[in-house]
Amino acid sequence: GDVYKRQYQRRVHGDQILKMESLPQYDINQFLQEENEFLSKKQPTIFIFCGSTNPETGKSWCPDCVEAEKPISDVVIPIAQEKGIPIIYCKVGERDYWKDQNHPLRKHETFNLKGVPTIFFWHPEGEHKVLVEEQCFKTAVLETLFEV
Amino acid sequence: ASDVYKRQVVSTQSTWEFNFQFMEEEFDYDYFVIGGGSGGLASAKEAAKFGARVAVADFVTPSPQGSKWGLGGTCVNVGCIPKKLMHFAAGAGELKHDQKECGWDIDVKSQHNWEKMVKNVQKHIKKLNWGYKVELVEKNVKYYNKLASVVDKHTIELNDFKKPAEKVRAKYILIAVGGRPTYPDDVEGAAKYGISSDDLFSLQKEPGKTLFVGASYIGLECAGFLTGLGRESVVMVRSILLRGFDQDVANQIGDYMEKHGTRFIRKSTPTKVEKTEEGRLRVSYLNHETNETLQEEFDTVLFAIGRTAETKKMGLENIGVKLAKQGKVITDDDDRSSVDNIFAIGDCAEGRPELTPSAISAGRYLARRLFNGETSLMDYSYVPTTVFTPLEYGSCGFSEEAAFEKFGQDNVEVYHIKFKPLEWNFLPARGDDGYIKVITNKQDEERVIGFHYLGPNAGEVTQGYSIAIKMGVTKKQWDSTIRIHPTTAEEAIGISSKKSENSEAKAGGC
Repeated sequence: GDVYKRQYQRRVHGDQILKMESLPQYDINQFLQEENEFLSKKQPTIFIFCGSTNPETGKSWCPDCVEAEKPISDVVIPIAQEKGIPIIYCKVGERDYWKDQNHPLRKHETFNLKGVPTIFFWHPEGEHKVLVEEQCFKTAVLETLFEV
Repeated sequence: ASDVYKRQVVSTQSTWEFNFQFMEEEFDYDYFVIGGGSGGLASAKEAAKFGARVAVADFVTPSPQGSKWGLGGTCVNVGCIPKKLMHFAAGAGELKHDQKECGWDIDVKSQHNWEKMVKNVQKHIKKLNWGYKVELVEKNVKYYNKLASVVDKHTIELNDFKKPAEKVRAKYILIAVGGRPTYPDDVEGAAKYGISSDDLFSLQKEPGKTLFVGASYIGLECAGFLTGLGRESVVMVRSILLRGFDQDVANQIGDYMEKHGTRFIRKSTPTKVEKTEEGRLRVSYLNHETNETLQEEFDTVLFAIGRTAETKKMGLENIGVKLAKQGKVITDDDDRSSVDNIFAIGDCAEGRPELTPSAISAGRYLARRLFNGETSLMDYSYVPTTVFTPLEYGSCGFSEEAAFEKFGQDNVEVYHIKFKPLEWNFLPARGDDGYIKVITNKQDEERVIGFHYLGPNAGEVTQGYSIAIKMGVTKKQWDSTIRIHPTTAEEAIGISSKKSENSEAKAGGC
């Protein structure tokens, strides 16, 4: 966890816009260990959940996640950076692990994921905004996350 | 240059194609919908499905007390949705007494937290507001959060009172602006101190002892759940309860509410609302029977005396759109106004039911007629409804009065029965307050033309029966259906007691 945090801070401080693949990534176990810390900060936070990378192809096993990478990099990351909203990028696991209905994030009290990719804009007061699957492909739809 | 273009087009294409091209060049939108409520959004999304260029303008003028809300219209923000959630919250509270007798260790005296309930209700509403916004973007419908008015039959002016107003041109315009609560203009202090249903569901302060002026479904539903939530509630009635509904059932609803803690001040109307030194509201009212003027103090006064269409100051009259005397748009069966390209649906249209599903359906049919060459018109007969008073009331078809008027009293048979839901038996003090009335047309094989159910889960019960009624079920077919036991819905099947023979309904049995 700490290694990733330092990398992230260095990059943001360097005033560069991060592409999605260079965001610090939490695998499912790291995420579950640290989630209480994220949520206890009482700060609006964007969680991005995608399928893990297939080492053979270098891309996620989830084709929708691959398709969402560019729109998310173009819209969600720059706007979130501009507004100072932290982004936590979690790889939910291998395909078979994700497809199991007992996956911890599927039954999770807060996240309750139905599919990947999911962009979960978490608010401390509970007014979360969630976009799922093909909703993550369109830049116009992604922009609605930040509308007041 | 444009004249040359038009001449060339006429010479090479049919008139229809020419018109279509001309339309495309001339207008920014094929369909401009004014009002982002139940009817407007449904119609806009349906039209976009057929490839039309669609826009929706939705803007909430703040209530006199300053309340505003997001996209979705009355139902989502200040109507059906928060109403049902609060009605459920009140029912959940009353269940405490049953729970105790069911064996649970419950503190029946536990208090209700108004702020917590409002917070949770608003959280859900905001989720819906945002969901509708996302949906419009996904379906390629342009959304303007601006107040729309019509400049001419094809031009709409949009103003958000922050940036300069803009104008857009559209081939077809849909007026779906709904309505807002009416404030009385002859009661001093009404708009200054009184709230309406526009304010109740987001009320930040504890309402306390509340006066509801008006006894149609808004007044009764709100007074009903506020009583259930433990606040002292009073309903001031000018004449009758639930105008337009079966009066026999309406009076039973009033009796039930009185028995369960709502006080009624009958035959009275307020004359003045003023603030006391302690910050409460003193209401002066006239009793029309005794001609006395009386006074009483409340913490909150809510006016529910009616709703007015939001068609004023839109420029409609200037361009020739005829309005009825209450301001609703006069339309024909095609939902078309007196101006050929301007349509109206939902609460703002004259003679239409003020119901979300009705507006949604009308909106979809209209979009299909305009953009998919279909011809089907909306069928407004046998539209089922439910009033969510503490004892719920579901109905479909004619009331007793309306049936007598249309068919003649001798040609109508009214069957009725009282019942007590099985679950109520944990609390022996509960009576057989459940009531069902089935009205048939004796001249047409005793076809069921009216159904009235007073009891728990009225909406769930009525929805199923409404399909049979719409399909023309006869009393014989109705009674030949086997009952599901133990339910309250089953009590509607096999009623033999006729009101013409016995005006007091007998209780049903197992």
